[in-house]
Amino acid sequence: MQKTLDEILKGCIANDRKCQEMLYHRFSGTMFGVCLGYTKDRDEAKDVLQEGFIKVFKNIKKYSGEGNLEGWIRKIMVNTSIDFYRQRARKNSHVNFDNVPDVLETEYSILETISANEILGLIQQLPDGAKIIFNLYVVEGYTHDEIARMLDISEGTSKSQFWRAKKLLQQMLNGTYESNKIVA
Amino acid sequence: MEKDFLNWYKRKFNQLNVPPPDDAWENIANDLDMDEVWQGVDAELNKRDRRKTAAKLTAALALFVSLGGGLFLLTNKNVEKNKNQTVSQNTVAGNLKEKKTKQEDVLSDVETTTTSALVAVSKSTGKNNLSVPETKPDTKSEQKGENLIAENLSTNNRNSKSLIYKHNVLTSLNGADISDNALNSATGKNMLMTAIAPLFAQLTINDNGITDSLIYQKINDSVHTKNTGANTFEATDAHSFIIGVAFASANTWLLNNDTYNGLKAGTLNRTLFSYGKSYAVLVGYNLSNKYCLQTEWVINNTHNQQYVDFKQGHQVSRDLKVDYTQLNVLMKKKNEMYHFGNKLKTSFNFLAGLNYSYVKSFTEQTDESVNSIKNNYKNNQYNLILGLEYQVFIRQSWIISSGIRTNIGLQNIYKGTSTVPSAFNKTYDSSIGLNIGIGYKINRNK
Repeated sequence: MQKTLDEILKGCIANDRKCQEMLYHRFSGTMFGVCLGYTKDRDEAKDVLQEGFIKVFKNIKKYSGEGNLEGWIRKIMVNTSIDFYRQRARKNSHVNFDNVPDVLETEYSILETISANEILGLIQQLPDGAKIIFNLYVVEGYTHDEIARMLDISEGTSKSQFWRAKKLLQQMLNGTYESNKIVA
Repeated sequence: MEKDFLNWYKRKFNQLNVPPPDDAWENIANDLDMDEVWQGVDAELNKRDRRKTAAKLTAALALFVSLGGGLFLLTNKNVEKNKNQTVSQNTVAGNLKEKKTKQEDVLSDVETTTTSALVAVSKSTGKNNLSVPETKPDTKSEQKGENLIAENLSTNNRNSKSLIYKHNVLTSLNGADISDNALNSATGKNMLMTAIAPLFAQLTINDNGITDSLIYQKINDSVHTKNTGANTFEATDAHSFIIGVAFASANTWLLNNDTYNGLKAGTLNRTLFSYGKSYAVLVGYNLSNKYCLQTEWVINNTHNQQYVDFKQGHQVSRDLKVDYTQLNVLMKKKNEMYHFGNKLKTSFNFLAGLNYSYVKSFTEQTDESVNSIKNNYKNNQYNLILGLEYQVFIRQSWIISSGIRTNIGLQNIYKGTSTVPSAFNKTYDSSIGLNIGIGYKINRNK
């Protein structure tokens, strides 16, 4: 028997494992996509997804019911991704934005032919810091000031990394476009 | 154009729907199950910890009360003893004064008799140079008197008795110590007994184990005490030095992204209460009765931060441990108080100052290993110190103090590495704790 979202939510608050599983299956696809957009690879995205959903279930009582449940879960996933990024950045990663070559202007009409999965492939190629800043700014709608505070960096760093990420993405898109043209 | 690109990107990104790996839900369910089990274990452990903490607090309180009570009784006993001694000395001084007055009266009577006798002797011997010594004959006059006695004994035995009396009475007055025996005997009726009475008097006092000079010293001391405010403490601490040792136990916090997250609800990191110990030697200088400048060399101060780091689906216990050697410079604002009729002196102090810390070692211990992370942190650190202190003065020079202090980190102590900039792992070190100390006051004018 299919349960409504409200019933699932009530079950999750009561710590009902079945309802938790239903909630997970309802949102896991979208959330895994979000996680992939903020992590370096599938393995890390999986870890973020797991930890994110554990946070969701532990804190579901705090969900006031106001606003979109999906938006609330998404926010937890993004924050968990940022936590992962900070931990990783502190320990062993090195983000190098130097030597990003200038790119040609992209023909946006052609971009429409690129699928979401192809976009994902491109996102995965972006350097970690740049990818997070770019997605936080473009997709989540945070300002550079907010991003700077979230990542403990200066606003200037956020802006410059965003700019460089955008250039790099455009460069990759041009490459994809060129290769698509060749295939065609 | 740029806006189009960004909108396009956002739209594409939001269309992403990627099925997660099959085992993801199993892992989540396992974690949730594990977490429920852990919550039960954790609740039990916390219960035990609370019992342990309560036992420690009770023991500490009992120790504090017994130590404080013992010190108070000791102080009280000493003060009482000093008081009794002072009263007894005042009584002796009063008696001596009274006796001296009585004796002077007797002396006056005797002097008249003696003068007559001397005049008679003078007349019989034909010597005109005899004179009655002044109230306190010096050695020369004493010798003179003895010569006279020797001389007159051979010529006039009856009159010489008066001279013997006179000489001895004056000698005893010079010694400033006369007993009741001596006083009662000095009536002039029995001149020989009176003459030797001061010797008994001297012997009696010596039997009590107190010498003349000691008595006078005690009297002077009691007068001094009275003049300094009717208590057993010196009227001022100004310009005195204090040396001492101190020990502290503090709740320490090394706060960075991970440990700070552990304090927040809704994260799987868990930051635990951690404690460190320190020991120090100190030198203080009382600028006045109100202010004291104190320098402390903290030979070793250990700060800890234990936390459980939830990472990639696993809980890892971590313990950051840093050993410092430190230099504290503090200014104390004192508020001295006297209790129980000035028998107990205490001081309630507010203190503020700066701390310089040098990192001796910095390690991170996990379940599996201990790694030195000293190179990732700044060797030289500066903190602000604020605190309250309560001091109890024992006798004149000993000071026992206890208090609460907070050490506030002023700077990000994370130095950064080639891959992780300083700003990405801002770390602040602070602590709050209890400290006890014992000091000895040295007066510059002593």
